[in-house]
Amino acid sequence: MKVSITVDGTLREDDVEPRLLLVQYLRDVLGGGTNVGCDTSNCGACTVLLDGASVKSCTVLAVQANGRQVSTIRSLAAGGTWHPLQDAFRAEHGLQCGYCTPGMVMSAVDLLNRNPDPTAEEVRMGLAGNLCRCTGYQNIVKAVRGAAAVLREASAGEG
Amino acid sequence: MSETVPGEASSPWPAQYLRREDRWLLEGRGRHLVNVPVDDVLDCAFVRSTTAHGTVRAVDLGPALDAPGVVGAFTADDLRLPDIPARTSASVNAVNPVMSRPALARDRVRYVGEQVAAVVADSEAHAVDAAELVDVEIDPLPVVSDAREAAGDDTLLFDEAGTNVAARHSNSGADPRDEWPVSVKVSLTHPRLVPAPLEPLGIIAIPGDEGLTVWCGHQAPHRLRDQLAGMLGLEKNQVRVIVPDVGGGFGLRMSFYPEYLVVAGAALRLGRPVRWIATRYENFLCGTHGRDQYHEVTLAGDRDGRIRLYDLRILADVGAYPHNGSHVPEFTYSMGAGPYDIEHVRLTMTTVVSNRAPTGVYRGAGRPEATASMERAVDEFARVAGLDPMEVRRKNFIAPDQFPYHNAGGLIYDSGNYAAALDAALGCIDLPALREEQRRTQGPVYLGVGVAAFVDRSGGAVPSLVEYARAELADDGTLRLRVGSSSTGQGHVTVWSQIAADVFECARDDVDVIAGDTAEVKRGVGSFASRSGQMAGSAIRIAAERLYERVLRAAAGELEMAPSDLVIHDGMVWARGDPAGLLPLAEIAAKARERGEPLADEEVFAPNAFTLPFGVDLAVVEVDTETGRIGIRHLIAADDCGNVLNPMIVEGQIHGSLAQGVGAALYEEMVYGEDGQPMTTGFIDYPIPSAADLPGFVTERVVTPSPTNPLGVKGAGESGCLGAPAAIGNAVVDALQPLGVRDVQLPLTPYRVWQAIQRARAESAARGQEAQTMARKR
Repeated sequence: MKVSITVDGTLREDDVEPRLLLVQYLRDVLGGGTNVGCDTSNCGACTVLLDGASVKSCTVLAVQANGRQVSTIRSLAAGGTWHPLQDAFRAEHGLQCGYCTPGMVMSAVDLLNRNPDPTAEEVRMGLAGNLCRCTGYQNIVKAVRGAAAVLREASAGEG
Repeated sequence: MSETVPGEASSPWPAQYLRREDRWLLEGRGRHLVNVPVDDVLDCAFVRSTTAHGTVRAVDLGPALDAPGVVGAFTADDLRLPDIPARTSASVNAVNPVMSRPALARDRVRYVGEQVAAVVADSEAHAVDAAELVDVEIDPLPVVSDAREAAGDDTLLFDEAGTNVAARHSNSGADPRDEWPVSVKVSLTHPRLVPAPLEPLGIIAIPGDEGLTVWCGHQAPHRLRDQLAGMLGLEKNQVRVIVPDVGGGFGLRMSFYPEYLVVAGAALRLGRPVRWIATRYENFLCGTHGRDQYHEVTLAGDRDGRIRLYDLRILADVGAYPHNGSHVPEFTYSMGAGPYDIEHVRLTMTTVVSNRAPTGVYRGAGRPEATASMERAVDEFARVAGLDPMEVRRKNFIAPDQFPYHNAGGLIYDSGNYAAALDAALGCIDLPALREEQRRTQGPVYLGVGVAAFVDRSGGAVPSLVEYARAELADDGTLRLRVGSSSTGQGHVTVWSQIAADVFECARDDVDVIAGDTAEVKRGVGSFASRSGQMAGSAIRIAAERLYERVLRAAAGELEMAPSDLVIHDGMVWARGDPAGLLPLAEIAAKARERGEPLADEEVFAPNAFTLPFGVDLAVVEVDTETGRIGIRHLIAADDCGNVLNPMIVEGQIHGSLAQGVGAALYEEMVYGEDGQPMTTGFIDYPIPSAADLPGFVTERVVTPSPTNPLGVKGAGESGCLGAPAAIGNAVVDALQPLGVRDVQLPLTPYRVWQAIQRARAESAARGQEAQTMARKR
């Protein structure tokens, strides 16, 4: 089937098998940017934004993304400047092997869009669908809250 | 002068600790195996046994061979690959040699998931579709579903072995007395666990004129090269193993998998690149599992709390083939007595095969089992003796002045101060207040406090566990390291460059690190058992210091000065005390190149003893006796890993290991049915902890430098999963003491805890009724 999908700002036209998952499509066209960690939609390593809302791209068919916008972690840095979440994950050592990171960070983007000032508990609940086997999450929680503060400050400055 | 570097401004850590790896991982530019670009790569899918034990009658590849996109399909007879031997070089003891493992099953299948045939096609989808068409006919045999059954030898996995016992070992320790004033026995089951790094297994094999190039996220690439070369009949230099970015290891990637051999064999046969990327389901079926031991423990001693006898009987299930896992119980054996100075230690180890997937090393490998058994027994000993469990530990710890200490398992402990770790952990809580809260508790939620003291073993004291590093002055005057240990996510590039930059007083980013490529690094051992910091780190330090001296000598020759008057700083040679730089390192490198004597030094670091990291984990739990649910109020880890190279990374390691320890304590268990069917084959039924499941951790540090290496460091990667399960287990038993619960086995699922409570209540009611009857009779 023919699809046109905007991936990280670039419009792509491709012919795909109807059964092809969005995550497989992204892997094939991008060669990275999101990962597959399970086959039961538990791990969240494949989380991307679809029209701005987070989805596990292993639960979306590529054809369902037809005509829509997909954003991966590769689109986060603007003009070479990192997004506050990227900064904070590095600053707080919120990643080790980095395999869950693209999905974890994109889930956090969505979480902060919905809740700009989450408590530690709210971050833990909000990211419960993204598994990490390396970090024990403590530093991820710190990173997300740290980034939230930076983002709030930035939006206050704009306002 | 320098641009703002991501994260540095807002980090609580000094900039030199932040990871270089994050620069690409956080931009989504990590190159994991599936993203390694290979032209015209074929995908391999495996046909696996759905029967736990059976005789293979027929394998029909016909329909698969005709399926769209299929390039080849293979059974054991087609590829004729050699068996993987029963024993690895890591085993100290003999392993029954007939228990070797076929690359593809021949006449027999021995576990659900065993690979029977391989299908290679032009896409993953085509390979999977075609594999479904392969017809496998298996006559079922009686199933050996666990270790106890295996030990009975009623059904044999290997007829020609005459037994299911793969290895047996014991020391000559004796119990010198018939009776001790205090004596306790406990039995423990150490459930089978799944390492489950987020990236599943996989391999890419690319045949070429020179031999074979293999991409694989392996923890010991040189070992994989040697194994593949040996089994494929190639010279070592005909196989090049390259490790891409790796999505976590935890021991899973130490194993040698038959799938690796089949993919390499198929690539050579077809003359085309072949790739296998496991699904999570496959990873559960065929990736090596950990633990799966049963212990009978006797602890005996005096009324004052002095422990005099430790008797540990280990029964270990290594699954269908012992190759990858047979040495793990040896670690339990050698670490049995933990941090305690016990006069009489008796150790017995029996390793058996069963119709479960093969085991291998998993984070902690053998030491969590040793710790959980000892620490459960110590608490029980204290209870029976009527003593404070903390004081019993203190009384029996190996004292700081007893190091180096020779333990009963044949191991030398390098250094330690165990009481300091206990003090540090206890310093984080108000124990008297918690005890008071316990006394006041009426239920239904009960409070418990538990500790676990542990020692780990890391490093390398035998020839197979050395580590290699080479330091070179590159043409532009920067440093280049070639290191035998590569990363599976720990941050080696950061720490290796940090060590070399300290020696050369240069920027960390001016150190190029090459690792995980057997063509670029001439030898190496690998990244496992918390060894890299001390082994590779020491090798780097020594090689860099040698190179420093060599560069100074070269500079001294150029400048006609004495080397002792010169120093290196920031890419330049300086005269001591002179603010003007004399000679850039790039010039020295250029001169050396002209002379045909590149400036480089190397080191094979081979210490004479292991290091013994240690610590105390402390858990405060709340047990809801109506539901059996456990809440962790505090989880405290007081760790000593000697000197610390990068405190941020060490703390991260401890957090991650604690998280795996909590998972093991509360719900992780790879379950097999009596028919040998795996019941937990995904993250739905084998849940690994999510952020919502874990408490915040409190970490404390004790520093006892190791005398075995120039950095004074010990391993840091595994401690949390050693102590946490035991501490949480002890805390739950402590909480339920008022209800008469004396023991609960891991994992402490709500149902299991609830059952233990019901049993204790029933027993207590029965005792009450008996007492009433007795009273009436009087």
